[in-house]
Amino acid sequence: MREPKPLLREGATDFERQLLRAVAGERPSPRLQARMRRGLGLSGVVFWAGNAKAMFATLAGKAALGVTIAGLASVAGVATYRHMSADPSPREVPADVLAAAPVTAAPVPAVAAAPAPVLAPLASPEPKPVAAEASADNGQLREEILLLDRARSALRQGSAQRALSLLDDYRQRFPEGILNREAELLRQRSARGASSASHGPERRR
Amino acid sequence: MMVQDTPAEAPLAGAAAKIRLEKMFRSHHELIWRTLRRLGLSPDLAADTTQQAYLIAAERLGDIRFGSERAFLFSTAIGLARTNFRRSQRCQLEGDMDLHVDPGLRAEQVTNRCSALELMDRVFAKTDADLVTVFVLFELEGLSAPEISELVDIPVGTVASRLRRARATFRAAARRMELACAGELKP
Repeated sequence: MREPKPLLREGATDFERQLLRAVAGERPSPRLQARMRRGLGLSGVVFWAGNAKAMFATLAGKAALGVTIAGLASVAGVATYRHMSADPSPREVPADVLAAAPVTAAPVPAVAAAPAPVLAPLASPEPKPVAAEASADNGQLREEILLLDRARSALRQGSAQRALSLLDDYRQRFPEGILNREAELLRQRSARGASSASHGPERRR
Repeated sequence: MMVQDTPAEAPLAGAAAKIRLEKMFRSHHELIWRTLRRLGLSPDLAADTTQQAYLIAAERLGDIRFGSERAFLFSTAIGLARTNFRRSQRCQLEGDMDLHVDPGLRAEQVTNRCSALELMDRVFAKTDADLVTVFVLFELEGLSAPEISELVDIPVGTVASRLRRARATFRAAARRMELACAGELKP
Protein backbone atom coordinates (compact mmCIF):
# COMPACT_ATOMS: atom_id res chain seq x y z
CA MET A 1 0.00 0.00 0.00
CA ARG A 2 1.39 3.35 -0.99
CA GLU A 3 1.87 5.76 1.85
CA PRO A 4 0.17 9.10 1.26
CA LYS A 5 2.31 12.18 0.93
CA PRO A 6 1.91 15.02 3.41
CA LEU A 7 -0.68 17.53 2.30
CA LEU A 8 1.92 20.26 2.27
CA ARG A 9 3.71 18.37 -0.43
CA GLU A 10 0.76 17.19 -2.41
CA GLY A 11 -2.89 17.94 -2.68
CA ALA A 12 -3.48 20.81 -0.30
CA THR A 13 -5.38 23.91 -1.34
CA ASP A 14 -3.73 27.27 -0.85
CA PHE A 15 -5.83 27.88 2.20
CA GLU A 16 -4.99 24.51 3.73
CA ARG A 17 -1.35 25.08 3.01
CA GLN A 18 -1.42 28.39 4.81
CA LEU A 19 -3.02 26.79 7.81
CA LEU A 20 -0.53 23.95 7.87
CA ARG A 21 2.45 26.19 7.43
CA ALA A 22 1.27 28.33 10.30
CA VAL A 23 1.54 25.55 12.79
CA ALA A 24 4.50 23.81 11.21
CA GLY A 25 6.58 26.92 11.75
CA GLU A 26 5.57 27.51 15.33
CA ARG A 27 8.36 27.23 17.84
CA PRO A 28 8.74 27.95 21.53
CA SER A 29 9.94 31.49 22.01
CA PRO A 30 13.48 32.10 23.22
CA ARG A 31 12.01 32.99 26.60
CA LEU A 32 10.28 29.63 26.84
CA GLN A 33 13.32 27.77 25.56
CA ALA A 34 15.50 29.49 28.14
CA ARG A 35 12.96 28.66 30.84
CA MET A 36 12.89 25.00 29.88
CA ARG A 37 16.67 24.89 29.79
CA ARG A 38 16.92 26.48 33.20
CA GLY A 39 14.41 24.02 34.58
CA LEU A 40 16.49 21.16 33.29
CA GLY A 41 19.78 22.62 34.42
CA LEU A 42 20.91 22.89 30.83
CA SER A 43 21.54 26.61 30.76
CA GLY A 44 24.99 27.06 29.38
CA VAL A 45 25.53 23.43 28.59
CA VAL A 46 25.33 23.94 24.87
CA PHE A 47 28.97 24.81 24.49
CA TRP A 48 30.02 22.41 27.22
CA ALA A 49 28.48 19.56 25.34
CA GLY A 50 30.38 20.34 22.20
CA ASN A 51 33.67 20.70 23.98
CA ALA A 52 33.26 17.70 26.18
CA LYS A 53 32.79 15.73 23.01
CA ALA A 54 36.02 17.17 21.74
CA MET A 55 37.75 16.35 24.97
CA PHE A 56 36.72 12.74 24.74
CA ALA A 57 37.88 12.64 21.18
CA THR A 58 41.22 14.04 22.22
CA LEU A 59 41.57 11.46 24.95
CA ALA A 60 40.98 8.83 22.34
CA GLY A 61 43.86 10.14 20.37
CA LYS A 62 42.04 12.42 17.99
CA ALA A 63 43.22 15.70 19.36
CA ALA A 64 43.31 17.75 16.23
CA LEU A 65 39.96 16.64 14.96
CA GLY A 66 38.43 16.99 18.38
CA VAL A 67 39.57 20.54 18.84
CA THR A 68 38.26 21.50 15.46
CA ILE A 69 34.87 20.01 16.21
CA ALA A 70 34.89 21.57 19.64
CA GLY A 71 35.74 24.94 18.19
CA LEU A 72 32.96 24.82 15.69
CA ALA A 73 30.46 23.39 18.13
CA SER A 74 31.46 25.86 20.78
CA VAL A 75 31.23 28.85 18.51
CA ALA A 76 27.76 27.81 17.48
CA GLY A 77 26.87 26.88 21.02
CA VAL A 78 28.08 30.08 22.59
CA ALA A 79 26.37 32.14 19.96
CA THR A 80 23.13 30.26 20.55
CA TYR A 81 23.43 30.50 24.31
CA ARG A 82 24.28 34.16 24.28
CA HIS A 83 21.47 34.83 21.92
CA MET A 84 19.01 32.98 24.08
CA SER A 85 20.18 34.64 27.25
CA ALA A 86 20.30 38.07 25.74
CA ASP A 87 16.66 38.20 24.80
CA PRO A 88 14.50 37.04 27.65
CA SER A 89 11.43 38.79 26.36
CA PRO A 90 8.69 36.75 24.81
CA ARG A 91 8.71 36.80 21.07
CA GLU A 92 5.35 35.28 20.44
CA VAL A 93 3.67 37.85 18.33
CA PRO A 94 0.09 37.35 17.29
CA ALA A 95 0.08 35.85 13.86
CA ASP A 96 -2.03 38.58 12.41
CA VAL A 97 0.49 41.29 13.16
CA LEU A 98 3.63 39.53 12.11
CA ALA A 99 5.61 41.07 9.33
CA ALA A 100 5.40 39.30 6.05
CA ALA A 101 8.08 36.71 5.53
CA PRO A 102 6.88 35.17 2.31
CA VAL A 103 6.55 31.46 2.53
CA THR A 104 7.79 29.62 -0.49
CA ALA A 105 4.99 27.58 -1.83
CA ALA A 106 5.63 24.04 -2.85
CA PRO A 107 4.43 23.27 -6.34
CA VAL A 108 0.91 22.08 -5.88
CA PRO A 109 -1.66 21.70 -8.61
CA ALA A 110 -4.09 24.58 -8.56
CA VAL A 111 -7.39 23.26 -7.33
CA ALA A 112 -9.51 26.26 -6.57
CA ALA A 113 -10.23 28.76 -9.29
CA ALA A 114 -10.93 31.58 -6.89
CA PRO A 115 -8.00 32.92 -4.89
CA ALA A 116 -7.98 31.74 -1.31
CA PRO A 117 -8.31 34.33 1.40
CA VAL A 118 -4.92 35.58 2.38
CA LEU A 119 -3.98 34.79 5.91
CA ALA A 120 -1.70 36.91 7.93
CA PRO A 121 1.98 35.94 7.79
CA LEU A 122 2.83 33.34 10.34
CA ALA A 123 6.18 32.37 11.63
CA SER A 124 8.72 34.99 12.49
CA PRO A 125 12.29 34.09 11.74
CA GLU A 126 14.54 33.81 14.74
CA PRO A 127 16.94 36.73 14.95
CA LYS A 128 20.53 35.85 14.26
CA PRO A 129 23.15 36.43 16.94
CA VAL A 130 25.02 39.68 16.59
CA ALA A 131 28.08 39.04 14.45
CA ALA A 132 30.40 41.26 16.42
CA GLU A 133 29.54 39.55 19.67
CA ALA A 134 30.03 36.15 18.16
CA SER A 135 33.33 37.25 16.71
CA ALA A 136 34.61 38.41 20.10
CA ASP A 137 33.52 35.13 21.60
CA ASN A 138 35.25 33.25 18.85
CA GLY A 139 38.53 34.99 19.52
CA GLN A 140 38.51 34.21 23.21
CA LEU A 141 37.25 30.74 22.63
CA ARG A 142 40.00 30.02 20.16
CA GLU A 143 42.62 31.10 22.71
CA GLU A 144 41.02 29.04 25.42
CA ILE A 145 40.89 25.99 23.20
CA LEU A 146 44.54 26.39 22.23
CA LEU A 147 45.64 26.72 25.81
CA LEU A 148 43.63 23.73 26.99
CA ASP A 149 44.84 21.72 24.07
CA ARG A 150 48.42 22.44 25.04
CA ALA A 151 47.67 21.37 28.59
CA ARG A 152 46.06 18.19 27.32
CA SER A 153 49.06 17.46 25.12
CA ALA A 154 51.39 17.98 28.04
CA LEU A 155 49.33 15.63 30.16
CA ARG A 156 49.25 13.05 27.42
CA GLN A 157 53.01 13.19 27.19
CA GLY A 158 53.32 12.61 30.91
CA SER A 159 54.14 16.18 31.92
CA ALA A 160 51.42 16.65 34.46
CA GLN A 161 53.30 19.50 36.12
CA ARG A 162 53.55 21.29 32.81
CA ALA A 163 49.83 20.73 32.27
CA LEU A 164 49.09 22.20 35.69
CA SER A 165 51.26 25.18 34.93
CA LEU A 166 49.38 25.77 31.68
CA LEU A 167 46.10 25.41 33.52
CA ASP A 168 47.25 28.00 36.05
CA ASP A 169 47.96 30.22 33.13
CA TYR A 170 44.47 29.52 31.79
CA ARG A 171 42.92 30.36 35.15
CA GLN A 172 44.78 33.66 35.30
CA ARG A 173 43.91 34.67 31.80
CA PHE A 174 40.33 33.47 31.78
CA PRO A 175 38.98 33.59 35.33
CA GLU A 176 35.50 33.33 33.90
CA GLY A 177 36.44 31.36 30.84
CA ILE A 178 33.95 29.71 28.59
CA LEU A 179 35.68 26.38 29.00
CA ASN A 180 36.12 26.60 32.75
CA ARG A 181 34.49 23.25 33.32
CA GLU A 182 36.77 21.51 30.90
CA ALA A 183 39.72 23.24 32.49
CA GLU A 184 38.69 22.05 35.93
CA LEU A 185 38.26 18.51 34.73
CA LEU A 186 41.66 18.64 33.12
CA ARG A 187 43.12 20.11 36.27
CA GLN A 188 41.81 17.20 38.32
CA ARG A 189 43.32 14.74 35.91
CA SER A 190 46.60 16.61 35.85
CA ALA A 191 46.70 16.74 39.64
CA ARG A 192 46.16 13.01 39.78
CA GLY A 193 48.84 12.57 37.16
CA ALA A 194 51.27 14.70 39.11
CA SER A 195 50.48 12.84 42.29
CA SER A 196 50.96 9.41 40.76
CA ALA A 197 54.16 10.58 39.12
CA SER A 198 55.63 11.58 42.46
CA HIS A 199 54.41 8.50 44.35
CA GLY A 200 54.53 5.99 41.60
CA PRO A 201 58.20 4.93 41.83
CA GLU A 202 57.89 4.48 45.62
CA ARG A 203 54.85 2.26 45.20
CA ARG A 204 56.59 0.17 42.64
CA ARG A 205 59.39 -0.58 45.00
CA MET B 1 53.48 8.25 31.48
CA MET B 2 49.83 7.98 30.65
CA VAL B 3 47.30 9.15 33.17
CA GLN B 4 44.75 6.55 34.12
CA ASP B 5 41.19 7.33 33.17
CA THR B 6 39.44 5.30 35.83
CA PRO B 7 39.21 7.88 38.62
CA ALA B 8 37.62 10.36 36.28
CA GLU B 9 34.76 8.04 35.42
CA ALA B 10 32.24 9.52 37.85
CA PRO B 11 32.42 13.11 36.62
CA LEU B 12 32.64 11.89 33.07
CA ALA B 13 29.50 9.80 33.55
CA GLY B 14 27.66 12.84 34.90
CA ALA B 15 28.91 14.90 32.03
CA ALA B 16 27.89 12.24 29.55
CA ALA B 17 24.37 12.18 30.97
CA LYS B 18 24.14 15.92 30.68
CA ILE B 19 25.41 15.83 27.15
CA ARG B 20 22.85 13.21 26.27
CA LEU B 21 20.07 15.25 27.84
CA GLU B 22 21.28 18.32 26.00
CA LYS B 23 21.27 16.44 22.75
CA MET B 24 17.79 15.12 23.45
CA PHE B 25 16.60 18.60 24.23
CA ARG B 26 18.00 20.09 21.08
CA SER B 27 16.71 17.30 18.89
CA HIS B 28 13.19 16.82 20.14
CA HIS B 29 11.88 19.62 22.31
CA GLU B 30 10.36 21.56 19.45
CA LEU B 31 8.46 18.57 18.12
CA ILE B 32 7.11 17.79 21.57
CA TRP B 33 6.23 21.37 22.34
CA ARG B 34 4.51 21.77 18.97
CA THR B 35 2.52 18.58 19.39
CA LEU B 36 1.38 19.69 22.83
CA ARG B 37 0.37 23.03 21.39
CA ARG B 38 -1.79 21.31 18.81
CA LEU B 39 -3.36 19.29 21.56
CA GLY B 40 -4.63 22.56 22.95
CA LEU B 41 -2.03 23.59 25.52
CA SER B 42 -1.00 27.21 25.73
CA PRO B 43 2.61 28.04 24.86
CA ASP B 44 3.54 28.25 28.53
CA LEU B 45 1.71 25.11 29.50
CA ALA B 46 3.25 23.26 26.58
CA ALA B 47 6.68 24.41 27.72
CA ASP B 48 6.00 23.30 31.29
CA THR B 49 4.80 19.92 30.13
CA THR B 50 7.76 19.51 27.79
CA GLN B 51 10.05 20.35 30.67
CA GLN B 52 8.33 17.83 32.90
CA ALA B 53 8.80 15.15 30.29
CA TYR B 54 12.50 15.94 30.10
CA LEU B 55 12.81 15.91 33.87
CA ILE B 56 11.33 12.45 33.95
CA ALA B 57 13.67 11.44 31.14
CA ALA B 58 16.60 12.84 33.09
CA GLU B 59 15.69 10.76 36.11
CA ARG B 60 15.35 7.63 34.03
CA LEU B 61 18.12 8.30 31.58
CA GLY B 62 19.77 5.00 32.38
CA ASP B 63 16.61 3.13 31.44
CA ILE B 64 16.15 4.80 28.08
CA ARG B 65 17.67 2.86 25.25
CA PHE B 66 19.87 4.79 22.89
CA GLY B 67 17.79 5.64 19.87
CA SER B 68 14.54 5.51 21.83
CA GLU B 69 14.84 8.94 23.37
CA ARG B 70 12.26 10.56 21.13
CA ALA B 71 9.69 7.83 21.71
CA PHE B 72 10.19 8.03 25.47
CA LEU B 73 9.92 11.79 25.58
CA PHE B 74 6.97 11.87 23.28
CA SER B 75 4.91 9.26 25.08
CA THR B 76 5.77 10.81 28.44
CA ALA B 77 4.73 14.26 27.27
CA ILE B 78 1.50 13.01 25.77
CA GLY B 79 0.75 11.09 28.94
CA LEU B 80 1.39 14.17 31.04
CA ALA B 81 -0.78 16.27 28.81
CA ARG B 82 -3.62 13.81 29.10
CA THR B 83 -3.29 13.36 32.81
CA ASN B 84 -2.74 16.89 33.93
CA PHE B 85 -4.18 19.12 31.32
CA ARG B 86 -7.42 17.70 30.14
CA ARG B 87 -9.19 19.29 27.32
CA SER B 88 -11.20 21.37 29.75
CA GLN B 89 -8.03 23.38 30.20
CA ARG B 90 -7.67 24.20 26.57
CA CYS B 91 -6.47 27.72 26.38
CA GLN B 92 -7.59 30.54 24.21
CA LEU B 93 -10.25 28.50 22.55
CA GLU B 94 -13.83 29.42 22.30
CA GLY B 95 -16.70 27.05 22.75
CA ASP B 96 -17.63 26.82 19.13
CA MET B 97 -14.88 25.67 16.87
CA ASP B 98 -16.35 27.05 13.72
CA LEU B 99 -15.17 30.40 12.65
CA HIS B 100 -17.24 33.11 14.20
CA VAL B 101 -17.82 35.50 11.39
CA ASP B 102 -19.24 38.63 12.82
CA PRO B 103 -21.58 40.11 10.23
CA GLY B 104 -20.49 43.55 11.32
CA LEU B 105 -16.88 42.98 10.42
CA ARG B 106 -15.34 44.39 7.30
CA ALA B 107 -13.48 42.17 4.88
CA GLU B 108 -10.02 43.32 5.96
CA GLN B 109 -10.87 42.74 9.57
CA VAL B 110 -12.05 39.27 8.79
CA THR B 111 -8.86 38.60 6.88
CA ASN B 112 -6.81 39.85 9.78
CA ARG B 113 -8.76 37.74 12.16
CA CYS B 114 -8.13 34.72 10.03
CA SER B 115 -4.95 34.15 11.90
CA ALA B 116 -3.87 30.76 10.72
CA LEU B 117 -2.66 29.64 14.09
CA GLU B 118 -5.93 30.47 15.71
CA LEU B 119 -7.82 28.75 12.97
CA MET B 120 -5.74 25.64 13.32
CA ASP B 121 -6.34 25.64 17.04
CA ARG B 122 -10.00 25.73 16.28
CA VAL B 123 -9.74 22.92 13.81
CA PHE B 124 -8.03 20.76 16.36
CA ALA B 125 -10.11 21.83 19.34
CA LYS B 126 -12.92 19.43 18.59
CA THR B 127 -10.83 16.73 17.01
CA ASP B 128 -9.94 13.62 18.92
CA ALA B 129 -6.50 13.97 20.47
CA ASP B 130 -5.37 10.66 18.99
CA LEU B 131 -6.22 11.88 15.52
CA VAL B 132 -4.53 15.22 16.14
CA THR B 133 -1.37 13.50 17.29
CA VAL B 134 -1.11 11.38 14.16
CA PHE B 135 -2.02 14.32 11.94
CA VAL B 136 0.60 16.57 13.51
CA LEU B 137 3.33 13.96 13.29
CA PHE B 138 2.60 13.09 9.69
CA GLU B 139 1.57 16.39 8.16
CA LEU B 140 3.63 18.83 10.16
CA GLU B 141 6.60 16.94 11.49
CA GLY B 142 7.13 14.83 8.39
CA LEU B 143 7.29 11.48 10.13
CA SER B 144 6.44 8.36 8.17
CA ALA B 145 3.64 6.00 9.16
CA PRO B 146 6.07 3.37 10.54
CA GLU B 147 7.83 6.04 12.56
CA ILE B 148 4.53 7.25 13.98
CA SER B 149 3.54 3.69 14.67
CA GLU B 150 6.65 3.24 16.76
CA LEU B 151 6.36 6.60 18.46
CA VAL B 152 2.70 6.34 19.41
CA ASP B 153 2.84 2.58 19.87
CA ILE B 154 -0.01 1.70 17.54
CA PRO B 155 -0.11 -0.50 14.42
CA VAL B 156 0.71 1.09 11.09
CA GLY B 157 -2.81 0.36 9.90
CA THR B 158 -4.21 2.35 12.79
CA VAL B 159 -1.89 5.21 11.90
CA ALA B 160 -3.27 5.15 8.37
CA SER B 161 -6.90 5.10 9.46
CA ARG B 162 -6.38 7.85 12.03
CA LEU B 163 -4.61 9.91 9.44
CA ARG B 164 -7.48 9.49 7.01
CA ARG B 165 -10.02 10.58 9.59
CA ALA B 166 -7.87 13.46 10.78
CA ARG B 167 -7.37 14.65 7.25
CA ALA B 168 -11.06 14.50 6.53
CA THR B 169 -11.80 16.51 9.66
CA PHE B 170 -9.11 19.03 8.87
CA ARG B 171 -10.13 19.49 5.26
CA ALA B 172 -13.80 19.86 6.08
CA ALA B 173 -13.06 22.45 8.75
CA ALA B 174 -10.63 24.27 6.48
CA ARG B 175 -13.21 24.35 3.73
CA ARG B 176 -15.83 25.81 6.06
CA MET B 177 -13.41 28.45 7.22
CA GLU B 178 -12.31 29.27 3.72
CA LEU B 179 -15.89 29.73 2.63
CA ALA B 180 -16.61 31.85 5.66
CA CYS B 181 -13.64 34.11 4.96
CA ALA B 182 -14.34 34.26 1.23
CA GLY B 183 -17.98 35.07 1.88
CA GLU B 184 -17.01 38.00 4.00
CA LEU B 185 -14.57 39.21 1.41
CA LYS B 186 -17.36 39.62 -1.08
CA PRO B 187 -19.32 42.83 -0.83
